[in-house]
Amino acid sequence: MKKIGLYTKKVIEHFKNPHNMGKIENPDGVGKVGNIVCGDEMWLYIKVKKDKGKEIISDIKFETYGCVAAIATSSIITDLAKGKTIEEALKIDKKEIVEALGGLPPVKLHCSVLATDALYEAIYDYLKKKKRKIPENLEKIHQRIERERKIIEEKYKEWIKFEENIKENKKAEG
Amino acid sequence: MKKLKEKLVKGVLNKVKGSHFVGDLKNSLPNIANFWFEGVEGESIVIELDLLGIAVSTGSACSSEKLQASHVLLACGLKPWQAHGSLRVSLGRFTKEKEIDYFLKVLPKVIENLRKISPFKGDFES
Repeated sequence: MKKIGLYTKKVIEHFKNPHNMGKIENPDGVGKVGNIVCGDEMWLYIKVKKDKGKEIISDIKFETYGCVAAIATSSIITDLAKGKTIEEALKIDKKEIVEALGGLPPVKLHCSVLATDALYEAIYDYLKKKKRKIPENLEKIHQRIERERKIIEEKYKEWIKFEENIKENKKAEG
Repeated sequence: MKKLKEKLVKGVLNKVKGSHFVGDLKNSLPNIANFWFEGVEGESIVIELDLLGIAVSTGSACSSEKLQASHVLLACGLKPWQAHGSLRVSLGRFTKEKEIDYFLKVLPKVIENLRKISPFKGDFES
């Protein structure tokens, strides 16, 4: 596939014109992964509808702070997940994302993990809100994401505290 | 070159909301200017500008092999998320004023577009 610098044409296409970008009001599930302190943060919103007894991701949107690869993987995962059942969506993996984009530079492969994590977390959030049983695999993934979150928070706790203070001060100023 | 840099810095600060100049106009080299932009990440800005024919660089983690923000910018007192949103513009002997004009013309739209994608729109939500 034709490349522009390190990125495939497909990656640049999604970066320039991201699909399903923005926010969903009253989403059924939200997944927030990454941290601005590390340079990447992805928020994914899903809306779930029941159709013939199946739960289908009827709408999905994202907001991402990050590099070209982070924006492109966010965009492509919304394409891949939209219209799928919850079970099908949970089968989307990083390999599928990388293939759909025609490849990613090795140093950016973690962005595909960030995208699947955001989707899994949004589905986890949805199932949790519905007080439904969490599949064992999804529970494991959630635990891993939580562990990683704690490690980052510990590593950057002073920065994160600093950032939160700024946000609060801004709010107070109105 | 110093005049071009002044024009560049004043232009960026005037035209782009939530933009910050790193350093001191009087006490700095005339050929490099460093900025950071709230709510957007540096590599994305670099690639957007590259597609528009402008070559600049960033101190963001995403652009480095180590995936860590520029230690120089951090040592200068920038917070990590500020360094991630950084942009370094270098001027040379052959840089023309009309090139600065072109940069200042396209930059606001680039930042605005990336902020639309970002969850951190801050005070810039339209």
